[in-house]
Amino acid sequence: MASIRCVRLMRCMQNLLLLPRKTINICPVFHRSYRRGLRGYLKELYERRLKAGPEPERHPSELGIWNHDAELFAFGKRFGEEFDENLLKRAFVQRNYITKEEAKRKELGIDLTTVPLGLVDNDDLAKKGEEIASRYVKAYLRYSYPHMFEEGICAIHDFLMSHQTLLHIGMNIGLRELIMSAEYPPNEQAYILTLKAVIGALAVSQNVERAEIFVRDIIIPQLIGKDVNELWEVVNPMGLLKAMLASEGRGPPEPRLLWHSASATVMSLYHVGLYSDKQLIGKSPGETVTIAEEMAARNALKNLMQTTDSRAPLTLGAKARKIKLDYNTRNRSIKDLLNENVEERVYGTEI
Amino acid sequence: MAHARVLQWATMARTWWVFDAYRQCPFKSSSKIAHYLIGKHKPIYDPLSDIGDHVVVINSKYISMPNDYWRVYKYFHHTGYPGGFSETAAWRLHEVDPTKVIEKAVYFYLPKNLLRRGRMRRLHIFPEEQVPTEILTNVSDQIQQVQPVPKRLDEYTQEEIESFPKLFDWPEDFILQSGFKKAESLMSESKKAEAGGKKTETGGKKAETIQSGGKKEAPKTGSKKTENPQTGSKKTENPQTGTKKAEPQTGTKKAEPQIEKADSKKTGKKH
Amino acid sequence: MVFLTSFLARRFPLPRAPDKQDNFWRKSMWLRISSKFYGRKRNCFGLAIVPGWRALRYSTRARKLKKENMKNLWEIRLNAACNEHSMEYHTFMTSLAQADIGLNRKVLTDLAIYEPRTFQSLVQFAKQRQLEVGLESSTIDSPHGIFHRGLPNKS
Repeated sequence: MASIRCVRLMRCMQNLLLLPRKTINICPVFHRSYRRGLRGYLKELYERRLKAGPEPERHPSELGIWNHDAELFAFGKRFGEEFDENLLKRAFVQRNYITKEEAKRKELGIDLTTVPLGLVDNDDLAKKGEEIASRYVKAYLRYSYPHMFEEGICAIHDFLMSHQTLLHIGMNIGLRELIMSAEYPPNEQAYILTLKAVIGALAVSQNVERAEIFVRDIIIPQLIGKDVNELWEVVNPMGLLKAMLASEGRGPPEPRLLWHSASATVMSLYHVGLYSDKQLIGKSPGETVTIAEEMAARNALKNLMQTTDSRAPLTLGAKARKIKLDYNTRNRSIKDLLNENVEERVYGTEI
Repeated sequence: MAHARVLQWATMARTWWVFDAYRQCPFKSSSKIAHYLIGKHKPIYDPLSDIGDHVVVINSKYISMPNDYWRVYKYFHHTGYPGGFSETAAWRLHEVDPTKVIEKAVYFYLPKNLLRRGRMRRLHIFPEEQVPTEILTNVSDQIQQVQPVPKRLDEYTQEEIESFPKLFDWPEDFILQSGFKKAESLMSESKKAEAGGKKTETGGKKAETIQSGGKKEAPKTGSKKTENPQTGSKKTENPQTGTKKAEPQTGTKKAEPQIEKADSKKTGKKH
Repeated sequence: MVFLTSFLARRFPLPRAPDKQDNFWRKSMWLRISSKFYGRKRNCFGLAIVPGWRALRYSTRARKLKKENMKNLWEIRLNAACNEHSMEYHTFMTSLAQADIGLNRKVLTDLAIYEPRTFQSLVQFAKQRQLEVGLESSTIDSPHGIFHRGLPNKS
């Protein structure tokens, strides 16, 4: 027992101590003598490490291998963008960093009025970046899903601009060491703010179009592999479908049982199809007839909004350079649809 | 996520199939049924996943054994004690439980692993066409039969028989093979029957032994069957042999096989 | 056996050599292999060593077996997928190969499971090709009045 525990300890130890393999060379061949004491030595190191606890996470600057300006320059180049040096620097400065620095100087007795800190936080840039991103995302989604309701577009937009999505992006584009924050590693909000501020800084450094391309390349691809219909929760799909069909002057949806199996068991399966004017507009399986009918309604909505599973992929990359977005027009919303129907009804009764 | 959920539900759902075993070879059928019980007809098949379907087998009473398997095919058992060996002929087992032959065959064809018993639970065998409603409502599809259902001679209309192309008539006293006699005697023509009975008295006794010992075929409609002229009188006496019928006749001019058997007599007595 | 140098002597370690060197590292090597075994043969070196050898033999053999097993599994799945569209597996594969469609069994299986419509169009292609080649009999539809689902045409 003792021996196997030792083996595991040794392996863990190698990783924990960050020792190169050579240090724990267990092959006795290349040594002049056999290292009889090696095992005990490593065991002792391991126990000490356990006692001391894990290494605290430290910024590379504390290790003395950090050049902030060079890293900032590299950050911009990694995205193929030309940033204004000062603006980009500003984009990474958090408010709590400034307060911390000021407090530090006060402690040292430095007068802040005579020797100003000269730091501005990234809030303004973040605000600007968020506006640009939000505006572009909506316009892009309207371009990609022209038949989708405005409510759906807003839901997808909210997903893309959500805390979770932006945090995921921020944590994976190399902001961690660059963010100038009071604590390290920076908190979640710092990642999000910095990501937005980088977009804002790019817009100011070059132009808004360039920032929008950045948004398209970095934020929009988070939709890949996602079902956009699932991002928007339709409460009453059958009601919406009825309203849609009515506004198009088509007959109301009629559910029909297409196929079923094991209907007398708990593992039952039903396939329900929806017909309008004897045309199949949607179908779906389900555990019960009710579920299948509701899912068929959702499927019909997908077909009408042209957001089926077999839809064309998003226009990204080189192809997206040609697209021209309209920032002003909005898609049809459900409210408009319901109002139309009411008007029609009122109009019809008057006649 | 509801969309993905129902799609998965539909993918993993167990379909219920019905298989009509009327005049089907139990071994070929079982191999096919096992295929569905294992789930090998699905693209998502995996040997370790339990994704097989349900199969409802009807008319298992009317299966057709190949050759003379009813008599020859044996089921063995050993209690584990000295002298505990016993064997049962297929016809005997079928008489005791008409679902047993097909059940044992399917059990044999299923892979011998831990999923086997669970798969057998999804096999529902019924001797007749009558199936409980709660099972029948589940069924949504049918498995193709493994062989065409042969038509019995008595199922042909007189017109069809007469219009069947015939090159020549057999002579009255022509014997095709030892123990076989011409098919015409099968027809319910009393004259010929009487004549046949007079001709071969021993043949009648042989036929009797077959009827009691080796069950050749379980007919669907016992009442409709043509009576064997030679043993017609004795059948009514023996209730066991009341529904027995000889090998199905596929052609009009084929002779009825009468299997002479001293062995069959033995087996008959044994059980 | 005479070893001229200590180097060579270490290259041929005897399993239970009564040498005074530290056996720890050699044992730990085998115990690493046996770390997932069940029972005492996981931690007791004397019991672990033989199953350890056997495990290595199995892993050698399994490298080949895995490929065969996966091929068989894909063939079963593809057979089922083809039968759903009344197509024979071998006809399907031959048609694709003749048309220089370089999809292997694995990809076709994935298509059949996750993209059934794509797979269906491939089957349609194969059927059309059979027609063009002149093997209509393999793609003739069932006679009128015969309903089947997921069954190959045998008529």
